[in-house]
Formats: sequence, structure tokens, C-alpha cells
Amino acid sequence: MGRYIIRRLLINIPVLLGITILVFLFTRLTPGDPVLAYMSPELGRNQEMVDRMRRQLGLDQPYAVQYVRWLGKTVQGDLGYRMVGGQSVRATLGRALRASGLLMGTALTLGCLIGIPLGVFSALRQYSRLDFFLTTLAFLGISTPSFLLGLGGLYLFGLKLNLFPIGGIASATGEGSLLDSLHHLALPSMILGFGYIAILMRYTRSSMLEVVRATYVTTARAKGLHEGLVVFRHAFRNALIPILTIIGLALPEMVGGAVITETVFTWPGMGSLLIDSVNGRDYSMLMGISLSVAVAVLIANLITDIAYAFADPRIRYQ
Amino acid sequence: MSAESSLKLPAIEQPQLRTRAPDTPFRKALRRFRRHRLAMAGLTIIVLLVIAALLGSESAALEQNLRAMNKPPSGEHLFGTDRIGRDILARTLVGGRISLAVGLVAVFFSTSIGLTLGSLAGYYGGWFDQIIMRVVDVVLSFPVIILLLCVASLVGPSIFNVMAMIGLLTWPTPCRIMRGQFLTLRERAFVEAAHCLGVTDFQIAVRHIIPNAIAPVLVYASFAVATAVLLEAGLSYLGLGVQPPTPSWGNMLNTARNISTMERTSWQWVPPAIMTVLFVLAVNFVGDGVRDALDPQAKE
Repeated sequence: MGRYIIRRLLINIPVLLGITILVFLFTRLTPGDPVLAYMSPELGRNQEMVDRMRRQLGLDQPYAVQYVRWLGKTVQGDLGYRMVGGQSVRATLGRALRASGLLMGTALTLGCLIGIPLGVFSALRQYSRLDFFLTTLAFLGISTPSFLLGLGGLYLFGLKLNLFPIGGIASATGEGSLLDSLHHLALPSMILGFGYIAILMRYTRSSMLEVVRATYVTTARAKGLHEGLVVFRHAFRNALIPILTIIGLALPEMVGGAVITETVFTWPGMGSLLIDSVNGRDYSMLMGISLSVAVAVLIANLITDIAYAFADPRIRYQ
Repeated sequence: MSAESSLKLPAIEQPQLRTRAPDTPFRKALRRFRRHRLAMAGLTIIVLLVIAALLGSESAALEQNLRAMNKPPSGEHLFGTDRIGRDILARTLVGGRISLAVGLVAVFFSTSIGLTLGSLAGYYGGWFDQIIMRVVDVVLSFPVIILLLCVASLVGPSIFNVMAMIGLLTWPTPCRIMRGQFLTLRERAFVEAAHCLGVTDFQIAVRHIIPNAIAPVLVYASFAVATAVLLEAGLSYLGLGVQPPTPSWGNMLNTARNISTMERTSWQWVPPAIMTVLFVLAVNFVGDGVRDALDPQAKE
């Protein structure tokens, strides 16, 4: 097991370097001069000041030198300052990460707790009325643009029924109280959770359908095992791999947030931050966001690989 | 990732006695597809939507009438008008043309690039394969929406840019699928036989390997159309996709961005919303059908 994990770790090192190069190149290839954007013309600027600023920031050096310097600082956790507003990128990321992690974590937990059992039931009663209903629901969930789902929920539960606040992470008066936080969290996390439920249900269903026909399941039944044991110990465990894949793909979203749903609900997470940075051409922030999300993807891949090895011991010895 | 682990080898051609019309794998797949009821329903919906989109009149979609702003549906404007008096029905149809074109062209881009690079990487292996696959790993480490938004901020929004961006950022998935297929197929006896007969590399790849390798890429492509249409809708909704006055389903849905206009002028966003959901749903049904039809383990 240890060797398996180490091999997986080593594979990721060149990819990580490639990610940093791509992130660096992207922000250096952007049109618009960051120095000019930084020095507002209203305060008066001339060529000499611009040149001096460029030297100070090291932007007159070749790209390779800039890259190595930037990488050195990044490794030490120094992500620089935002080009708009001047706050520390790291501190801003930290705040947005907490908000997104809370939202996406709740949504994904909902997705797993509801989607996987429903998928199992759907597969066990294939072509039943329940299966048909759940499959239709899942297809609708997969096919509806997320902003439509968000706006629909906002309109119905926030505005018409007045059950939940229509945006934000906390109200001005009730800031910090658990109940207030949960109240704000409920609607967006349910909407995002619906998407996860739909996709997890689909994959669990088709994966379960493949294993329930397997001979070892028939054998387990034939020897008189309790149906619950047959389903969960013999069938479900063998159907786990595709489910783990989907969860593994969803894990980095806890870092990346949900761009559109966060915009709809004015949730101050990574998605909203991304849109702000794109609109404000805040390249240092964009670098910070894309870098942390890409690293999250790598870590999630690693976790998924380890989870595979636990679910299917044969994978360890490949 | 998910696509690679669930790969299945395509059906092996069985030697047939030439007593009746040969039952090719393609025909068998077509027969299975025709029997898939949801997929046929999906196909019907797609054909109807495409015909409707082609019927839309571009001049009517752009014609403003400031004396008929925000009018609810009536005899003159069946679906009502938008905030500068343009006909919603015409805009929905023409917008459909744009959204469908974006989806199809983007997937064509991404599949062609992925197919070519994946074939080359899988066939030749070696350093070329190494480089391509590392690039694939790096690109796949970024969620598509984040890459799209970053690039959109770079190149500025336009119809062509949306198509090109979606295409250029989503090729790694078909590339990986195709490479995996080539890796297994190039070791097979029929490829060796072709080599022995002196068939050129290009001929072997195009005539012998690709037809046997294409099934999972086709499945990918059919689902990818749905994803591309949803991506276009999301981008245009955020104002970073297709720009007005050109209509697209996504930018028409932008009307719903504001809760009060969403409620008061519901006829402006409900038609494109229904069209988007209907089309994506239909494409997902067809994708399901294609997957079942091309599944080598499927029984007749």
C-alpha cells in the first residue's frame, strides 16, 4: 500500500510543474499591462514612473527568471497581492475557500447520502415505477442549466414561500449564529446537492445493474444469505469504483466552488471571486485561484486512487 | 478518468457465411439504437428543434419596435416581445440556431483534435505520447469552467471565440479515450497482418484501427454536445458568451438574472429555458441510446 501511494505521488510531480508553468504563462500572455492598470492615470503617471515600477516589480526580467522567482515565492505560500484593492491573495483565498468548502461540502454530503441509496433502490427495482420516476428526475437534474435551477429555487422558496433568505452567507443582524448560517446555507446547498444527487444516482444505478447480474451475487443468494447482506456486502462493494470516480471528480469543487450558483446566490466563495477577478482583470487573484483549484484536482485524484485501492485490493498490486 | 476506466473493446467482427446480406456491426448497432425508445424520442425532439431553429427569421429577431416593449404574448407576437420590442418567438428560434451551432461546432473541434492527437500518441508511443499525455494531464487539472472564464477574459466574447474555446479546452478527454483504444488495438493480430501485407501506417490507423476504436469516442461526443450547449448557456448568462444583439438561449436567459424582471416578464425567458432543457434532455437520451447500441456486451 505504501509503495502504491508513493508511486501515485511521484506521477503527480511533473503534472504539478506543468500546472505552474501554464498558470504563469497564462497571466503573462494577457493583453493589458498590469503596471498601467496598477498606476491609475488620475494620480498622474509618466514613462519614467512606469519603468521604475516595472523594475521594482521585476517585470523587466525575462519570463524564465520571472517564473522561477514566482515559483519560489509560491512554494513558500506567498501569492502576492490583488491587483484590484491590494489585499493579500492568500487571505482572500482563505476566506473564499471557507465559504465554498462549507457550501460544496454540504451539497456533496447531501448528494452522497441521498443519491447513492436512491441509485441502489432504482437498480434493484429496475423498470419499476419508482425507477422510472427517479430516472426522469435524474435526467432533468442533469439537463437543466444550473443558473435556471438556482433562480427557480430562489424564486419559489426565497421569494414566494419566503422560507429562506435570497442570498449571502449571513444576515447583518444574525452574523455568527449557527441557525442564521444554516438558514443561508440551506437553499444553495440543496440546489447544488440536487445536481450531485442526479449524477450519483445515475452512476450508482448503472454500476449496480452491472453487478447484480454477476454470478457471485447469484451464489450469495443461493446460499441463503439475507438480502440486505447480498446487496451491500456482495453487490454494492463491487459497484463502488464508478461511484468513487464521480465523488473524486466532485471533490475539487469544494475548493473551486460553483461559479454560477454562487453568483446567483451572491455567496462569497471561490466562484464569485473568480467572476470578480475575471471582470476586474485581477491576474494575481486569477493565478491564485487557478493554482489552488488545480492542486486540489491533483490531491483529489490521489485520494481517489487510494480509495480505489481500498475498494478493490487487486488495484494495489498492479 | 471515468471515461477511461469504463472503456470496453468494440465488437469483434465475426466471420459470416455469405448466404444472406452481411450483418455488419454498424447495422446491429443501428438496430439496437432504433429499439431504444427514449433515444428515438430524443432524436425526434432534436430533429424538430433543428427544423424550428432553421425556420427562424434573422431580421425579425433583430427588429426593434420601441412602441411594443415588454408586451406579453398576443396575436401579433405569439411569445410577446423583449425590453426593446423584439419578437421573442423569432429570437428563440434564431437563438436556437446559434446555441446549437456553438454546441455542434465546439464538439466537432474537440473531438477532431482529441481523435488526431490521441491516435498519434497511441500509435507511435514514445516521447510524443509522453508529451501529449502530460499536456492532457495538465489541462485536465483545471475545471473547464475556470479555464473558459480565464480565456474568455483574455480573448473577449464572440460566437466564434465561444466555439473555439470550448473546443480547444475539452479535447483532452476524447484524446485519452482514443489513445487507450489505440494502445490495445495496435497489438492485435489484424493490425499485425496489415503490417505484414505492407499497408502504410496511415492506412492501418485510418482503415483498420479507427473504425474499431471509434465507439467510445462517439459516445463521448454525443454527451459532449449537451455539455457544450450548457456551457454556452452558462457563459452567455454571465455575459461572457454570445453577445447581444445576436440572440442565443444563454443570453436570452440573462433576462431572468433579475428577480423582478424574472417575475414580471416571464414570457421573455421561459421559451429559451424550455428549449435548452428540452434539447439537452434529448441529447442525453440519444447519448444513452448510442452507448447502449455500441456496447459490445449488448445482447440482440
